[in-house]
Amino acid sequence: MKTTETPDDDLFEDHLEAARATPPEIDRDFLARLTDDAEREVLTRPRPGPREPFLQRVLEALGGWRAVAALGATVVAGLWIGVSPPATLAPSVDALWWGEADMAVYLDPALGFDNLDQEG
Amino acid sequence: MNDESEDELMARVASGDASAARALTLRLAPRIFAHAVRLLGDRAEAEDATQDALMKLWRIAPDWEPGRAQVGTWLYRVTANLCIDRIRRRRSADLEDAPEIADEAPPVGERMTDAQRVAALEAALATLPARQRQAVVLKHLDDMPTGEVARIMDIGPRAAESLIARGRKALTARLAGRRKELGYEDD
Repeated sequence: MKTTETPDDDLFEDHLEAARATPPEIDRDFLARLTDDAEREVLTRPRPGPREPFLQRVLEALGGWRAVAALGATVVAGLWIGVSPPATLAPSVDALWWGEADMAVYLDPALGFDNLDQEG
Repeated sequence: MNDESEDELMARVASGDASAARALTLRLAPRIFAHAVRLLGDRAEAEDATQDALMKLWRIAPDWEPGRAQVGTWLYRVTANLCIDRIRRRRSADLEDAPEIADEAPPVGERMTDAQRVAALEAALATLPARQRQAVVLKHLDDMPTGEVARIMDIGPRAAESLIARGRKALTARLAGRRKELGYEDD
């Protein structure tokens, strides 16, 4: 159907109609190769295994149950030390800054043991 | 042959069904090959582009997200991008190496045959910028609505309309400039 306004539009439409009426045909042998390629590509593709539950994937990403158990123990110990730090624990940066602790005690093993003696 | 939608076939391909891949190939390959020939003006290059585009489809199949795009739209876009890459490489490599598009005008005074009209149109299409050519081919030769042209080209409908209009205008001017040579002088 022509929806043209000028002779030039008619000329253009003539060419379009001719091109639409004779679309480039695919070669049959080429099409056969494409279908063979398609089947081979799909058949030889590695099959994805069944998808594991989210928790299982998280555990695997963290290194398995043993690693997660060790991580949990570390977290608990860290919390405990944070809430109730041992007297011999290295001082905080704040304590050092304000002169409330002496780093030498923690760097010199001998001095450290002396300190333990004093604590009785 | 097969009433299944392309999405349904693609879901079967994703689960490893080779017969679905075969059915999709038979349904889509002739269309994208014709599209590639019209963009490239060269059957051998169009076969390469068709093969590459389908291979990309099989490789993305396991991760295919239904509803994100129609299989046909996706395949047209990938094919067109492969063709445009080839056109740009061709232009940057050596214009002289570009495939010659047969364009034999009839003797003056004789009307053109359909084959000659197609050749003249292909020759004119080859002179358009790649995106204009793609828009005109999708709209006027593949007979797609402007919305689908826009989706395939990944642009808005207005941008698609503009490309189609500019391409059409340029083609009309080129063909009109050869009116006498093309045997239309007696109209």
